[in-house]
Amino acid sequence: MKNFILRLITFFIITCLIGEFIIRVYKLTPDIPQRFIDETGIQRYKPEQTGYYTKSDTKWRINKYGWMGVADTTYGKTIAVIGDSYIENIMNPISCNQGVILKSYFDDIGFFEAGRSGVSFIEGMEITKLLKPIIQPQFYLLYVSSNDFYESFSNKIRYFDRMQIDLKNKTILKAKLKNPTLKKFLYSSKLLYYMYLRFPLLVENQNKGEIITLAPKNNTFDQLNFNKLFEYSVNNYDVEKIILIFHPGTQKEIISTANEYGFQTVELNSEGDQSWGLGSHDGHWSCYGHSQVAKQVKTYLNTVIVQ
Amino acid sequence: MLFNSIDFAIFLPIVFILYWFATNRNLKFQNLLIVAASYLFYGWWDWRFLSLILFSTIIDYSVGLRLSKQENPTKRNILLWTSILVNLGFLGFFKYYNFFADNFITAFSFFGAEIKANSLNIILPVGISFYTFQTLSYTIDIYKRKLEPTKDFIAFAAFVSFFPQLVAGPIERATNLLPQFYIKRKFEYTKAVDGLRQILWGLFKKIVIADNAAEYANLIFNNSDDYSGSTLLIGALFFTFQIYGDFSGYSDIAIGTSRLFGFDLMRNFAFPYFSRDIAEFWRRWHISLSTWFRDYLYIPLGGSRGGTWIQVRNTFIIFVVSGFWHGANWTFIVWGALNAIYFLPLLLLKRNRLNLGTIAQGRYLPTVKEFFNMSSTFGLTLLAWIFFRANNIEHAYKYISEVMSPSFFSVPDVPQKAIVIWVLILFFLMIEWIGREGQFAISHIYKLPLLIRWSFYFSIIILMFVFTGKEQAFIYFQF
Repeated sequence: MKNFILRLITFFIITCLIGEFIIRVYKLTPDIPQRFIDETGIQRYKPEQTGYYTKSDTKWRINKYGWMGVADTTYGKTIAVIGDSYIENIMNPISCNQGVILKSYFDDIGFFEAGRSGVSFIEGMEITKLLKPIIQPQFYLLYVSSNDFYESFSNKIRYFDRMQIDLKNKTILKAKLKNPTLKKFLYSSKLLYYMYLRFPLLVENQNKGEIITLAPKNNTFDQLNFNKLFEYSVNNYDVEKIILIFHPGTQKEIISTANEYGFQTVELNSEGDQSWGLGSHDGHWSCYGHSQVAKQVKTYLNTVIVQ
Repeated sequence: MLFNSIDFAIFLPIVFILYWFATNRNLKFQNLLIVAASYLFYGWWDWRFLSLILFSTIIDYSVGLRLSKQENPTKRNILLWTSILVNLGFLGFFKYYNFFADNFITAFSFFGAEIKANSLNIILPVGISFYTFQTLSYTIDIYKRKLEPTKDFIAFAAFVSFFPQLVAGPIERATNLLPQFYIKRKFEYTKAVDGLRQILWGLFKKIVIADNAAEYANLIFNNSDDYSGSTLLIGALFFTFQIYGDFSGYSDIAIGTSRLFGFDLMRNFAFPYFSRDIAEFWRRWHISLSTWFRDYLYIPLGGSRGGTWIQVRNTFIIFVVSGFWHGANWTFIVWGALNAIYFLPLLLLKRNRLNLGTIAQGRYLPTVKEFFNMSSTFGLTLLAWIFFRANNIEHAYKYISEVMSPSFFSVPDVPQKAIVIWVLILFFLMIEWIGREGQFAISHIYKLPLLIRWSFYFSIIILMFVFTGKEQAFIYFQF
């Protein structure tokens, strides 16, 4: 037994080392940048970091504004692309980003991406406020699903690592970085991060299996909360410039309420096309999914942009 | 709990340590630990269905004890049928209720009668077909006086619920597995290492071969209307390797895990795709189920004794029932019947036991005749798998029609990435071919020097990291 255990431990250690090496060589997990929380309470990435995308030879780079992705401010007209991990898109090469694909449709417009994993609806709205003096966008495209709204309400569940809104007191609750040391350790060990992604035990697996429709997690539509949220939005942000891009499967009541409060909306339709997603253990859009999304957004933009 | 999950990777070492270090001095405690671990393993999926296993265990334990004391044939029959009806009753309700209800309604509507549909939203308990057959074998063997009943309830509960093979087999016989719970297990280094080796190979089959093949098999079968005959053929080939890698991979992990705990389970797969005829295929595919049907259905029906008609009837019954065991769908029944049609000529010409040994034994390559026989058997099996995988009979018919259409000669429409999967499948087949005379493909590797052996293991692990497929549930869980 002693011999067996010793050999098993040796085998296990070598397997871990080989695993770490293989994951690094084949870039089986993306490099994850470090975050900070700015004075407005928005989480951004520390500028000038670089790293690799999954299974790619190309590198991502955090721009001076603290975002990953394109930040084209050289055109007279700029459109901001805001959202969560779908927009950040670390799991695909940058050529599949919404900003890049949309740019291919609109030659004379610059696209500025501000995407980060975990952005709720209210944080997305705060990002519009942050970007306004920097790029003065013609429009803000805010990509959202039902969950992004429910995660905005602090009275439902308080997520300390996310920006939320206290609807009762009409105040924004800033986020705190969750376990930064643990995350640093997890992300620096590629094997651990690989296992964490591949076998999401005890993980808030919000994207697992959500290939096409982002079904809300036991969320029942509460008209009162949504009225308060949109009312706050109308009073505090440039709602007329914000176009909400709803993921397929977003609750219809949310979309109709947003329309009532003057938001421009686009409801994405995947028509049950399974290849929009990356797979059963990752519901983020694949490059194909991103191209289909961009096509639908382009159709809408063509109707509102004054060339 | 899935074998290819992190949950199991945590569960297994904990149970292993408790088994060999905390409870090893007392057989009762060791068996009790197996029961507790097995119930946890099963309850991880849905604890509510543990009651079914417990109920089945209590019924068969009690029936077994009473059968041994009972000499009155009528009362013995009543006891036997109590066990059969309880076990098959559960199986029938959970697995076949909606099938029979739907077909009943369809049949009556055909004659103009309107019956209101009353199908139930029933969850199929994982592994019910496996443990039901396992406990049935216990009662039947006692009834036939082939086995003495156990008085040790814990040992019996461990036999019924033994976690490595609880949800997808091999379907163990009480005569083989139950006595292993009576004797104190001793840790054997070679057995444990061999078990780990088999687990590694099983994981490779599942994660690299089955899960990758599944991606394309699903894509092609789910969109079969959009593809040409040549692509559909490739889809069927992908499924052929998916189901083999998936199920035999599970069996390898189950057998390997049992060996870690000092148990020997029966072999379930013996390189079936290297069979030279269908009879040989069925001696090598899902052996624990085939032999179960042979011993508890085919032989009691008269087997191959009697006239030609009896033989034909019995063959059809066993294959159709085997198909139906897989699921409540006509596709499985047709799959079974098709295999019966393949098998009958061999049986009637008394050529069903021609190929009892291993193909090309002692040689590197098969003869031309062997290769031809192997390929044609593989082709027949492939055709049958289309029925097994199709959504319904119409889907299977359209699928096969398209394969046989002129579009068969067009260039297949398969992504380039799929070529990598074929390279992996070829590598897999090569290793299986080299190891075909062993219990499993890499069982002979222990003869090689440590450095080569470990290099091979690590190569397999590297392939698992790099080519891990999109995680899929084990196919046989649904049966």
